[in-house]
Amino acid sequence: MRALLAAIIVLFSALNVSAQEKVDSTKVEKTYLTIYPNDLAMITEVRRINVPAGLSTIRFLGVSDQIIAQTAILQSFEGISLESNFDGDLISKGSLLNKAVGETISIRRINAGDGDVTNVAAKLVSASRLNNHVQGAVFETSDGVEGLECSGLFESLVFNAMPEALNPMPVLSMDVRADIAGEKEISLSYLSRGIGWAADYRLDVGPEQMGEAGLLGWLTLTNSTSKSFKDTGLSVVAGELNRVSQNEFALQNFNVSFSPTCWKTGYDFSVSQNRNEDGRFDGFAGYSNGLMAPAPAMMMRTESDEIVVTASKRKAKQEDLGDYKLYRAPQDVMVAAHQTKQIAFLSVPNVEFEKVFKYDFSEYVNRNSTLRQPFRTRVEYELDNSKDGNLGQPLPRGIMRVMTDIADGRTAFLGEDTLRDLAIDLPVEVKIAESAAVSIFPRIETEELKGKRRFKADVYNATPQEITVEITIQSETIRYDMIGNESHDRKPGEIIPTYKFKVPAESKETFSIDVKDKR
Amino acid sequence: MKRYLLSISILALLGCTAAGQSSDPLATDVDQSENLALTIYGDGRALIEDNRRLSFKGGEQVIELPGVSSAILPQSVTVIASGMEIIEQNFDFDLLTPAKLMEKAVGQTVDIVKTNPATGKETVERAKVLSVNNGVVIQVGDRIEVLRDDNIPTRVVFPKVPENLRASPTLSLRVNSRLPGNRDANMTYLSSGLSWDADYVAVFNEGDKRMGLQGWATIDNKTSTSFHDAKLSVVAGYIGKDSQQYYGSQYNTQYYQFWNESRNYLRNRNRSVNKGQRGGGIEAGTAERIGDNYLYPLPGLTTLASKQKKQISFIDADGVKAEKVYELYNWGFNSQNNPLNVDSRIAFSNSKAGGMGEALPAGTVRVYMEDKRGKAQFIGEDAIGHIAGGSDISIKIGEAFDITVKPTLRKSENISKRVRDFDMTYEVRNASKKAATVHVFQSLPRAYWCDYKVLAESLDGTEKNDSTRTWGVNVPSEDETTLDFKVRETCPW
Repeated sequence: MRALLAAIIVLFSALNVSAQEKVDSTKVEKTYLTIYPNDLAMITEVRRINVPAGLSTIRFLGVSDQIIAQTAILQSFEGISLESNFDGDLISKGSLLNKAVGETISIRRINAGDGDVTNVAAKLVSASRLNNHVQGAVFETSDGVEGLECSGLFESLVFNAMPEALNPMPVLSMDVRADIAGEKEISLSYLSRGIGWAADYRLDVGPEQMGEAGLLGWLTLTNSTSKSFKDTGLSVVAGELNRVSQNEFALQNFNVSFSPTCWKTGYDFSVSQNRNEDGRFDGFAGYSNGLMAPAPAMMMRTESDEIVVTASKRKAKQEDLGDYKLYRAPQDVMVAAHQTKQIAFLSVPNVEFEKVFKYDFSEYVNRNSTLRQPFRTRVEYELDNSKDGNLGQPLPRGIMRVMTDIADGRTAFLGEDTLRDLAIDLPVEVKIAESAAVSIFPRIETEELKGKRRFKADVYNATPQEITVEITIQSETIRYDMIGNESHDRKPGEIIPTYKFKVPAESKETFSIDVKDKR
Repeated sequence: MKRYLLSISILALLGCTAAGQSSDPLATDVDQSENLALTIYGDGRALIEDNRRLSFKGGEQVIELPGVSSAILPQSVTVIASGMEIIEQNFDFDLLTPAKLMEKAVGQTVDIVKTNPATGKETVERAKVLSVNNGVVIQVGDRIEVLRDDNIPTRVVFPKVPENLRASPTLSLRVNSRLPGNRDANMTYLSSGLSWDADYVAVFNEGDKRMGLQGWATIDNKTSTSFHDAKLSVVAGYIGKDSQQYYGSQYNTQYYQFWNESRNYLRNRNRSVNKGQRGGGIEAGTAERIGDNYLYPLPGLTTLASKQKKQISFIDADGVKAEKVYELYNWGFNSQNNPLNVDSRIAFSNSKAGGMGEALPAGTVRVYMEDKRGKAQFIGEDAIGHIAGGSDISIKIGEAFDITVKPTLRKSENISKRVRDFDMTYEVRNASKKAATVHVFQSLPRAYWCDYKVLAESLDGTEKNDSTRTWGVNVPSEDETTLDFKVRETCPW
């Protein structure tokens, strides 16, 4: 009975194999790229494939080398996608040896003395693999058994054929079932790492304390994969996507390394391996136990990185995607491998701004209050991003650099700040520096009444301009309750007590408020 | 002196046994697997059932079973065949490397082939390997040398491969068979390095409040072994494991399930909390069950190659009712300098009424939605635990760009030594073109020491459990709604 069952199963699997036709898809008709912050992109590739009727295996060549394989889906495909496989091993010395165990290969030796070349047929007895390391190889010739690369001779290996399971690039394949044969347009979508974006802003301000500034916004895309995207429909998504940390694929998972793992020789020409006491290869430093060595290729590429700025009047257009903001490039673009590219998305010449020198009393209380020293103030540019203002746009997270013109038409850099994702109407505060020219000397004065104290602060303005100062008292982070007798008016509409006032050029202004100890 | 002698005699005895073993008629003519079945658990283990046809010679013999999983747990192996008893089981994973070859050659004779670097002339000498300790010491005739001390290229030719060095992980059995002949043997063992989890593709249609859900079993073979034509099943459920990594890393310290799990939640949030689930399920579904777990057999025979990742479709549901929900959770009473973006979540049910009626094995749900041009775009993902049929599920897809909450502690007041009042304000802003309802959750951790009493609130709150108060804050498009409340905290000391 069991034999019969086995026979049936064998027959079934044989049928399975013969029925399954393999189709290679190499050409991509059109690519759509959606880039998310934090190094993630969704790649959609439209491919025309001649799909046979019934079961077939489609091999997708040329997918991103940093594909997250389990996210691959087929869109607009009239048929059933049954199974997808992601075959890792890339062509390398280690994987070639590992796959050739049991086969006959040639060892080519060049005699250093007389230059003779000899080819010796050898059966590969072993090329033991532990995780992604092949630990030496042992072969057998008519002479006997030898270890590969253990003699110090000029030796090289000659293989007869490339094993089928090895690929120069990671290959994604899908088993599908289609009812009707024919050329079909299918869309393959997958997520990939190695592609990301962030916003970069440039704010051009004048010397005045309040007025209008020019704001430019760029979407800065970085592609650190080795895939180039030609004529690509490009979108970027702003917002915070939830991500699950997981063992996502990375290219280095598929590199099988080789180390000769020979015996020690008296003359030890040091090789960069760790050996444990009995001379066995013990992985690379810090990467034993199956952890992968970092891919050196990725790190060395930065030098050849190319930066492209698409300076154009045509800006990326913003639309809503669920709860996110989506920016669509106005035309198809080319995103080359290892390239950084910038596309404008924002250009407003007259954003209302106000320069404010800020100070929070909790800074004083939380520090050692016996310090008899003035504090620097925070220099912030507050931009008006209300929906009725001149800007009125969502601002995706990124770095805002503040520039100003100085004499001779040259430009000076005033400072930069990292913005969070900012919806319309949220305050935009760009902290560019701490000012030594506008300083504040806070202190607490004790009065006769028990427990009653006075916060006092002298504001020094050493600039030739009248400035705006804002003092906040986050009373809940300190030990005091405010009881009034304020020297300045409270800013309306703020929950946290805030006092905003002007200080004339080259003068001193004193702020004070009565407080008492918390119960 | 006596002890020295004794150890020599033991060595000699050992040598004898080794010699006896190697002269054994080794039966290595094992057919490959006749029938291979893999049951893969989500925690990185698999049960492998491997039926092989063995040829028995009658009496004692060593049977080698190569091609077992390289990550086999040798102590879990059971081999059953009629008319045979096992005397001992050995698992050899002493891999054959050149260094090992040399170690095993100690005391034996090898050929040393030196090539003169100047003339290219080869000389062959016989040598005996004396020791392999940080360098190889050999004896050539009556000379004793260190191998390649002169750095002259030297080949070492070994006469043969030692018996117990393997090119692949091999299980060997010393058996006693009553009858000679070819018989089927059933071998089962556990292996690590094989795992699976589910990957879901959810296509969310916000307008229709519907979602399509496709589930794929993603099987990952991290072993160095390829399993050909295997019957494959995956098991969803929490299987006990004698190790501290019981639940693996899927349970991180994020918060989940504060809705229906509260008192124990704070203490157990890393354990036994089912991610994504918001309400217990009571529907059995149609999947096959083993014990308390679900078994998903995959149709046909599957080849699971070494280092391969394979996905097989197992759930396909369309038109599942699904709804977008905005939530913000805040622990404690404090002020935030920056407004917080609210969580954007999708709530659905895997009940029959909700359009599914199947249990969902643990994995990752990736959510897509169509953009203005009808192209599917990825909008976020979340992990779920194994979720029984009929459960309420909520997954976080991301944070809403346009909807923010800014918590501010207006005032805190010490009423007496153990009583404090907190005045909280949540400014809920909606910059989008659509009205939104934001569920603000305030933790009131009564499961610990202090008690909390809400003295006043600007909107009516509800408490689904005694540790969390919830307000549904309606915010019109491009507008702001403020939630104020005052809480009195009473602590026992």
